[in-house]
Amino acid sequence: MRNPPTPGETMATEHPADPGLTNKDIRDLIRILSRTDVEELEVERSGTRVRLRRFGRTPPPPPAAAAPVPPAAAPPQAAVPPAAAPTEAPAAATPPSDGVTLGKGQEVVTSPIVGTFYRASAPDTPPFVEEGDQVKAGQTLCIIEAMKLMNEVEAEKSCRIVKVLLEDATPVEYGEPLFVIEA
Amino acid sequence: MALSQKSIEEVTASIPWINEVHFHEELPSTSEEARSLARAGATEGTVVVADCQSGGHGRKGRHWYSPAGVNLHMSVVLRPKVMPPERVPLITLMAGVAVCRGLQPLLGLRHARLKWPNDVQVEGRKLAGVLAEMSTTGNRIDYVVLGIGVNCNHPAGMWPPELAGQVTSLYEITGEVRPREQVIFQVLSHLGAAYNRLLRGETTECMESWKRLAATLGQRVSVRRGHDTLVGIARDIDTTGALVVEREDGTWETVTAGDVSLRPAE
Repeated sequence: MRNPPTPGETMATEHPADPGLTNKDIRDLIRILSRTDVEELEVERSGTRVRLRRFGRTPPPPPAAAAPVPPAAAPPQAAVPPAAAPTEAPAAATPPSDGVTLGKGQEVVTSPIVGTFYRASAPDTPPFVEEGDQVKAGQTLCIIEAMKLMNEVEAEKSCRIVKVLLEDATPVEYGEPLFVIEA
Repeated sequence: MALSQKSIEEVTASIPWINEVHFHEELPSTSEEARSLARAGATEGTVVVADCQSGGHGRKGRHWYSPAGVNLHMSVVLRPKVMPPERVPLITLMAGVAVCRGLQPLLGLRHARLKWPNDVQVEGRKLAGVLAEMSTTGNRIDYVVLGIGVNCNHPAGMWPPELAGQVTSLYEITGEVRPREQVIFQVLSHLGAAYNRLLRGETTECMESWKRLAATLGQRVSVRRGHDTLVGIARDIDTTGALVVEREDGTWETVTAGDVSLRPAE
């Protein structure tokens, strides 16, 4: 995340290890933001500044139904430029793609809910898919668990698994990229 | 007392949202059968009951003990079309509340409580469990299957060794043998009412009901997850139903999946 030092700049400062804002920091900020009614948040650390703003929200729910409504517009695979720009980073209204770069004809499969990502149905069974596998429409790719609700994420079309983006049992956000696929 | 297609249809006839009953003496898993029916177009309110299961399972493929003749193994198809997927996890808390409330009148003076997210316990022993499975395409929910297991007439002292001391049954608690049809009626009636409230957007009511029955909040807990164990005090649930835990260093973390156990203070 840190900008490379410009020629002549010394890295030996008082906080040599301060990386500014890391991907994890930004993910944490999004998580915090998504659970509040805050519309916009700007944070700066060690020269890295990130502004998060919601957009495409549905009208605010009545107070009795105050569940957070994640941004509905803009599919998460919409290009989110690297958030490490030295000045103002683009509004990260979609979850960060964590540096996912897509080749021609590739796209990402994203998480439909907040939860925990599992590559297999049980710890002692093989993963649903491996990188390089060809899968059919309707085939299970992974499970996202939230509150003992097991959500099987299925392939919407026949495709090849190019990359598995997360380790087994990793917490995921709504809209977070899980796989890179290509037709 | 043997369950039958007819005896279940008789008790569910007065529950308007139950559309179809499928009873089997034995199935690998009622939830698998319900998912297969849902994929083939079964409507909301389709119920599958088996007297025993050869491959009943809980979280992460764990075996669910399902002997013949004593307990309830039931799965229900829901199609919450109007609900945004990110709110669906609340269904499992809602189901825990409904099972807890449905069983309470059968428990005499003992109280049913919920361990996050939806285990029904009496004095720390598991009486019932709920596991939900959802299928989505993109952002659209195809179906949710709620698998519900209730220990009804299982005799005390006859549990398999790995469960002894951790589980209980209605019979063990009250000394009375109950027709399982009565348990089906209680659970499905309460489930229908709670599900309707959730569909109307009454999420706060659902969360408050859950909190009133919670055995977990305010307790020292350890949460076993994929790669680590989180230890702290369970403080609250957030608007998605996730458990909010305060660690010993004062930082807070929300948990969406894991095995929670209560830990006595050290």
